[in-house]
Amino acid sequence: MIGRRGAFALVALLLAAAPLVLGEGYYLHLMIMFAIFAIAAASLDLIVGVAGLLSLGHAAFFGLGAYTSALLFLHAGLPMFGGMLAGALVAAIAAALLGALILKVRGHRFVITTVAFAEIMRLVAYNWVDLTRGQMGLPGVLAPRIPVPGLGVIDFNTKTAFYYLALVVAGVCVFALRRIADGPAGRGFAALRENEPLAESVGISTYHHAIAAFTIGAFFAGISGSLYAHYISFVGPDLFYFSYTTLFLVMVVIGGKGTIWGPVMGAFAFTLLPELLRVADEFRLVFFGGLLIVAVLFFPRGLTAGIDHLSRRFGRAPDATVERRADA
Amino acid sequence: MIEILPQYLFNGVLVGANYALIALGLTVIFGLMNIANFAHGQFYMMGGFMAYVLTASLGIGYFPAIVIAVLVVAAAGVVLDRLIFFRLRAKPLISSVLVTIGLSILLENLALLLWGPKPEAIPSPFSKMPVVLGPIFASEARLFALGVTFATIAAVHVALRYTRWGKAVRATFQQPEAAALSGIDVDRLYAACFGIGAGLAALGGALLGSIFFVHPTMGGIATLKAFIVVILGGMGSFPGAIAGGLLLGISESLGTLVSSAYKDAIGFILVILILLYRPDGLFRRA
Amino acid sequence: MPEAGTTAASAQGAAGAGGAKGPMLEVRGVAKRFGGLTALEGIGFDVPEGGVVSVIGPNGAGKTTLFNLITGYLPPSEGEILVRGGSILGLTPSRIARLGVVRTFQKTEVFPELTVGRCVETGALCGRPLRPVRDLFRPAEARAFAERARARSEEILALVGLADKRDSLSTNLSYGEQRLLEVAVGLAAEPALLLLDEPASGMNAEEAGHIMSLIRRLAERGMTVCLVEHNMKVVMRISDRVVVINHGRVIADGPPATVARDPQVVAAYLGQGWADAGG
Repeated sequence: MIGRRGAFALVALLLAAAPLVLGEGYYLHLMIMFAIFAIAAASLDLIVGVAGLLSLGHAAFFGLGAYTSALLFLHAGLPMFGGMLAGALVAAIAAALLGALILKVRGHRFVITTVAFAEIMRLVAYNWVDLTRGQMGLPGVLAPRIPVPGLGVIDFNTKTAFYYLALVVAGVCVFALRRIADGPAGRGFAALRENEPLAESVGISTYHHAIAAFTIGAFFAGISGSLYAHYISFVGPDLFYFSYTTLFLVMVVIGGKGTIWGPVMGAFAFTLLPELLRVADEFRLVFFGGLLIVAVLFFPRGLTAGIDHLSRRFGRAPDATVERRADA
Repeated sequence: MIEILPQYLFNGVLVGANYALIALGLTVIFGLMNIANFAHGQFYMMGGFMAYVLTASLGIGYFPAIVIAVLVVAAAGVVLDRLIFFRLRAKPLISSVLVTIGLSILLENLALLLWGPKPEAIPSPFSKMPVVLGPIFASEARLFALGVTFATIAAVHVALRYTRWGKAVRATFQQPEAAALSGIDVDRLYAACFGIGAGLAALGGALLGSIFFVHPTMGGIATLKAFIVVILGGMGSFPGAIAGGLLLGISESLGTLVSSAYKDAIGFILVILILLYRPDGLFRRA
Repeated sequence: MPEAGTTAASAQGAAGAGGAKGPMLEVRGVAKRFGGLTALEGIGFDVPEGGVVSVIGPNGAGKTTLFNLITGYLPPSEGEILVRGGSILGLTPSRIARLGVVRTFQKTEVFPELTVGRCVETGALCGRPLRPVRDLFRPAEARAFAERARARSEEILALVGLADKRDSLSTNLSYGEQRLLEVAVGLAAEPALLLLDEPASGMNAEEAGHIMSLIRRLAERGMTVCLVEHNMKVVMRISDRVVVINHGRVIADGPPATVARDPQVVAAYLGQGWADAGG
């Protein structure tokens, strides 16, 4: 009976204490990846879960953010935060242009075109060797060193420092996404997801809402990609692979789509669980595929349904602003 | 330039006919059940691998191996329909896409576990010597694949047009409720169509696998190409799928004359153009 | 409902009507063909501001098609449609709704996974510009809007008689209640002209009586209501004017009493047997 605020504080405390427990090792690396993927999954959830637009090209925006900030860092010396903003803007502009072209007609055609877009981005990253060095990728994308008064220069190239940085960025992003989803725009997105003709009949422009959701989602995917680039310090065409999109999708679905915080849990589960369970690498993806099938068919509301169930059992009403999602 | 054009056209028709074959199966599944099957390319991959295993590992002759491979994958299609796809029929697009993506990941990685990541060649009895047809250099394997593909496409077309089964399929396409009322067993029809769609893709994989290679990850790109063809042809139109397949194959082949690096982007660009200017597909009358 | 007034006034301004009080809706020489099939031909009528106008006709007469043309869901093959003097041809349905023309559907439409209250609040988004970034940085403004929407939804739910269902899932309502909910969602958009497509269809006598008195009350509040019905008896009592469509053409247009005596209408009645069907 700790309530929502209490639960939130507890989770924040645990996340903040993680480096003390985990040290600088592999598990802290996983926690950083969790923070990065949480942004990507939550941003995809705004598009897929909240607005009901099945984008299968999220890797394109993740990759665009990564490449933009890597290139700006390597050629113009732009440090991470500038690169992050630039990467997010490039991803958002790309999404707005693509969306304006293809979101007049949604449904199947939109789905295929998003896949196509990510594939074109991959081909460009692979073939525009003068800019991207093709398959060799771009190494040496460093994390920032920020002078802080009283503390000296903080070098974010250590895992612990970067972890806190990623955690704060992820926290801000997820908070912003959740606020958008709960706000007036989010209600319009939900109307688009639930019933397009009815939404139109009460003055909600489905076209403009679809573009807005797509663009905002891409913006945050760009941030996630930029963070990734500066953490791993290398970007390559693989970032545009469909497997990244499916990874984010699995996080969204397993976590519970349309809730923003569900996919964050999904990101946690899918960054850490396979490692903790020590599932052999070759079997991991087989397990992954099977889980996706079973989850969509039998547990369409994902992990959030379980949490809701528990909080109701312990006498707390779940967050009333989250709409019940009856079906996938 | 002009003297190599027939060769590129021939290559384009060969690959394009293959695309058409895969896309036909996808069209059936898509048009009939409204399921966007992202695991369709994995049937193509399974067809190739079945043919490889039957010939290279079990020593079965090339021609019977292709027939058996197609039948096995068709049967797998029916089983998957009963296990998974029938649950998706009334579900929204997002469910079917997610489930079939899950299935594609599952099948692709099972294939990687079973056969490893190395590309394999299907042993065939054809001579490696080129067959010269005027300005075109072909090979026995290519001519065989082309012949079988066109014969199969023609057979599917005739079956849809003139057999009782084909009429039932077309009727169900247009009016599923009415078809069910008129005594068509829709569930059985769907399962059969699923099997046939899977079998057509498997045939494509086995035939093209004997010209190039078979590889566990060849299914993903095949799925994308098949969807592109289906969109070009106008979602759920059989003649459209055939014409769309040939169009994509030929434009990609001619595209290599301009830039081989961006050959695979041509289809995607075509799709975006089509969506902008002919959203019902190239071959559908309004 | 003050905001509807402002939207409608700005629509009038945009149309350059310069304050002259023209009709709310003008349909002029409208035709719609699907392939070779003519659904509507030479349809023309006006809906003046205020009051209840019914468009009636047998099933298949083209009434729903007409609604789809007026609200931008289908483009007309010919003719002109004006809202407060401004053409709406080529506008999207949402744009037309923001001009104050809101419709309901013959086949009941709700937002299936939302609660009744949230469905109605969604209708209140009408006319609010989409500005997610501004809302993100000015949460107080967004919250104030949400509170206004909630207050309005409560008022409307009380008006239509669904106040006690506010927290139910929309799809858990009975059929008749869902039809009322759809009207409530439309009302939340503060229409100047409300188009109702067979609002009483599928309802029992009590529910039908309820919705008819609701329509009357809306008209008394100054809203213009246009409804489509195949059941003539239902609309005779509440309509100020009746437009009769048969085989895609207007065959009568006038006060209910006059229309009911019109020989062409009587013939259509007898021919179709819809007097009985309308019982």
